[in-house]
Amino acid sequence: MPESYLDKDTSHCSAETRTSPLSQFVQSSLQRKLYMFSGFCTEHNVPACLSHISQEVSCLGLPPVWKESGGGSELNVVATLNCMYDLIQLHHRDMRTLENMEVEQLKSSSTADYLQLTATRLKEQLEISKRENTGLLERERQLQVKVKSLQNCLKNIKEEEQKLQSIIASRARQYNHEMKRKEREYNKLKERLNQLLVDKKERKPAIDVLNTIGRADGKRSLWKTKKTEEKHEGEMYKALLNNYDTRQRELMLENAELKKVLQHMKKDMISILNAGPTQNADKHEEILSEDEEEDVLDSSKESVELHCFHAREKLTNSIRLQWRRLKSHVERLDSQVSLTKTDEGKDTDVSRETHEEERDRLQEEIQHCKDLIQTQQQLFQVTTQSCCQHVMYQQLSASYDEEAPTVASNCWMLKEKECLQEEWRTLEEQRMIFEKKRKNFTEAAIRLSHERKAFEEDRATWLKYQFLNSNPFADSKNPSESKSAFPITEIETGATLDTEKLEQCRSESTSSTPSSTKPKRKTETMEQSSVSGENHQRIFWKEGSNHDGYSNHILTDERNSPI
Amino acid sequence: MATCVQYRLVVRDVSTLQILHLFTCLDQVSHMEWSSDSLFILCAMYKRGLVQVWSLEQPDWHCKIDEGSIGLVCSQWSADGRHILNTTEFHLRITVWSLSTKAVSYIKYPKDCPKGVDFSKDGRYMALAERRDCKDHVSVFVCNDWHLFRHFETETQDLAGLQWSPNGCVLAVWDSCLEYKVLLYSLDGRFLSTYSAFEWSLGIKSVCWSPSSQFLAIGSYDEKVRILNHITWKKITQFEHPVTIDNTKTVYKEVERRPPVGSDELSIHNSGIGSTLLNTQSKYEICPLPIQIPAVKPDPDRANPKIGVSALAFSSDSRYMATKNDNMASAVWVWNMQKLRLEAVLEQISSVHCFQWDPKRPRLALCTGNSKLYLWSPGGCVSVQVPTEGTESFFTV
Repeated sequence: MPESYLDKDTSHCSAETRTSPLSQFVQSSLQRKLYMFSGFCTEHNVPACLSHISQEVSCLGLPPVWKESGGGSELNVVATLNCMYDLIQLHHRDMRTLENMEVEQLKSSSTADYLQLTATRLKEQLEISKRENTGLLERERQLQVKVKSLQNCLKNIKEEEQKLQSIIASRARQYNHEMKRKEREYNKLKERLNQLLVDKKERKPAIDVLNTIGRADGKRSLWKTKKTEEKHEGEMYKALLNNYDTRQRELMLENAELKKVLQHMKKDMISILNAGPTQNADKHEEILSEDEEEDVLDSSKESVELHCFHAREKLTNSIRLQWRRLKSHVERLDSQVSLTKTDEGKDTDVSRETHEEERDRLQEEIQHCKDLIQTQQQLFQVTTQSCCQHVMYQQLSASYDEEAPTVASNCWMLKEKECLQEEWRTLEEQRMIFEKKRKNFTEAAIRLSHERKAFEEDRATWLKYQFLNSNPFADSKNPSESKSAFPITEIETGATLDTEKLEQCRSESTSSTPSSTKPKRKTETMEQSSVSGENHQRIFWKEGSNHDGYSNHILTDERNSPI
Repeated sequence: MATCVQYRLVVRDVSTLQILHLFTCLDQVSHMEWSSDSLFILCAMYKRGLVQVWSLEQPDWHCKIDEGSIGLVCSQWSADGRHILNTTEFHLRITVWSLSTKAVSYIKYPKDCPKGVDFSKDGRYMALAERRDCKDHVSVFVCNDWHLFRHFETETQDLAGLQWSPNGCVLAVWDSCLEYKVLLYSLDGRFLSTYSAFEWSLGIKSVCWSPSSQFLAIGSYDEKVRILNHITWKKITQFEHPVTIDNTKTVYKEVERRPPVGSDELSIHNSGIGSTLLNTQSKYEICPLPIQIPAVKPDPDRANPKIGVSALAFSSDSRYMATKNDNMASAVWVWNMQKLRLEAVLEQISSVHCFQWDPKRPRLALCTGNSKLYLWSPGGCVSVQVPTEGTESFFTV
């Protein structure tokens, strides 16, 4: 039910308020709300709704819709209708006020916009006018400056005009004076002329000399001939040429002197600049090389007196360059001096302390550096000595075919070198010892061979004797033993010598060969083999190099030892 | 030393001032000149148109030149001492009288200018300013036989003077004061160079060569001296004569005082010649710098104003130059040419008339119209009394 009424209202409202879109919007929202609140009243909560509605209405100030005293849920239709009508009226009123407000808001917003626009426009205008103002001020200033300059010009021109006027006045005076003088003379001339015309007696000019006097130079005067004319011309030109000659000579001398002075100056400047900043060392070298070239040029051209334009220009340019450098150097020094002066001027006490501190620090540094230098010198000396020794060993030992190492690497490998040198020394000693041993061995071997020969001969004779004198003897071993004993003793005597020698050698040698005492008892074959082996070995030893010999020597000892 | 008094010519010995000769002329002597070899003296009497020549070797010898009705304006010796050049009245012509041949030569159209005739130092050539057809010309004559050697036109408006350089190779020609212009011509008539410092104002007042021919000093009406050099003929420096001086070595100021009678010992710088008791003693004082020189402003309405450097002279070694500025007429300025700056200023009591350098030493002598002679040398200043009867004294040796 309420829906239909409300629908009517909306349609009614829509008819009335077609103009305001806002109200339409409101209405549409209302419709939406209607939709939302369509579930407000149901069949079950009618009284609640009624009471609620009546409360609301009473809040709005409208007469109550529903009387509670009324029986049951009777709805006062009239009252409700009135209420509804009132509500509708209220709604209309509200809509109208809303419209009005909207309109007012529009108006105000439009006025605000309008005001904003005007404000921006005015601001722009203000900016423009400000700029114009500054421009005008600038022009005014320029015009003022112009006015001042023009005033100055005017003053100058006035002064000049006055000066010119005075000049004109003085010139006019001179002219007048001259004119008057000329007029006077003219008048005098006229008078004279008149006088002369009138005067009949004319005194002629005459000279009355007692006697003519000779010419000043004593010569006779010459006739005026062409020859004399030419002579005069010649004399005149001679005089002129002499004058030019002397002048040229003087100028040449002056030129030469000035050039010398310039050269000296240049050299002095170069020396000063070289003594000064050392940063431009390269430049100076360049300059020096240039100057050397120039000097070479100059010396070569000296005989030609440096007429060459290029040489002159070079000289002047180089002097200008040097002068500029000198000037800049001096300016730098001046600025440094001024800086130090300004620094000093700030705090004298503080600077003094800082100076002292600096001085102490610098002295310490100097000391430290000196020590360093001394140690380095010592090291250098040592290394040079070692280098010398090293060089000597290099010369001695041809095997070392290395190039002379640098001092630095020598210093680094010093210890190694020393060890190697010591080893070398010991090895040399050992070599000498072994040489001696070898000699002894050869002698012993020779003796042994001789003895063996003798023994063989003896053995052969004894065998012969035995065989010849062979009898059935009981112990056949004895002869073998005795045989063996005999040679053994003989051999022993011979061998002991060797063994003793060997042992001596072994005892002398400090090598690490295992030296075990050789058993005195030797068998023939073994000895022989050993001897032959020794010989064999010795042969090898002799042929081999020192190292090999040494190793072979060791081998022989080793081989000998198990025997 | 010769002095002329009225119509008497008195020749004295320089060292003793004893009268050696006394000659009497026919009329008041207007001009007296020694010949170049100092054997003759000419005395010119312009009014009468007469020139009388006296010999010192032969006092009996006489010579009289009468110009006749044509008149005489100027008379001078030639450089060889045997010819006399007489300028007739109105500068109609110059008559060259030869004393050795009694011959006469005439030179036409000489110009009436302050220094129209100049002899070269060696006496060989003579330059003469001429004016023909309203234009200035210069004629160079060989003095031997007065033969016209060169003749050329100059670019001057109104030639005022010419002077040979001491080496005889350059002729300086300058214009009148209305135009500042100096022209330099070589001996053979070639135009060498011109110099003009400024326009319109009054120009050159005096010109002087240095004895070494290195410098040409030009004094002008603007109180400045400009020095030109002989190599480029351009100005190397200019000397100014300001009223306040503070850049010179010394300023000598003449101080006069009348000593009490009989106190000759008080006067320090006195030559000690007798009869000086009544004369005022004067000595020089050294004034401290800066100093103001009294200057007189010239009369603005008169022509040839008394302003500007009117006198220039170089010392014989070209080391010093003396100048005189007309509006400070009592001061003589000595300039050091080696350093190109002011050396000394001598301030006299009265205006300086003339000054001359010693031909051998750097010594300047000047006179101011009193009976004293003032000497300056780099060592110092001295004022010497000269016994003369006249009031004016001038040097002629």
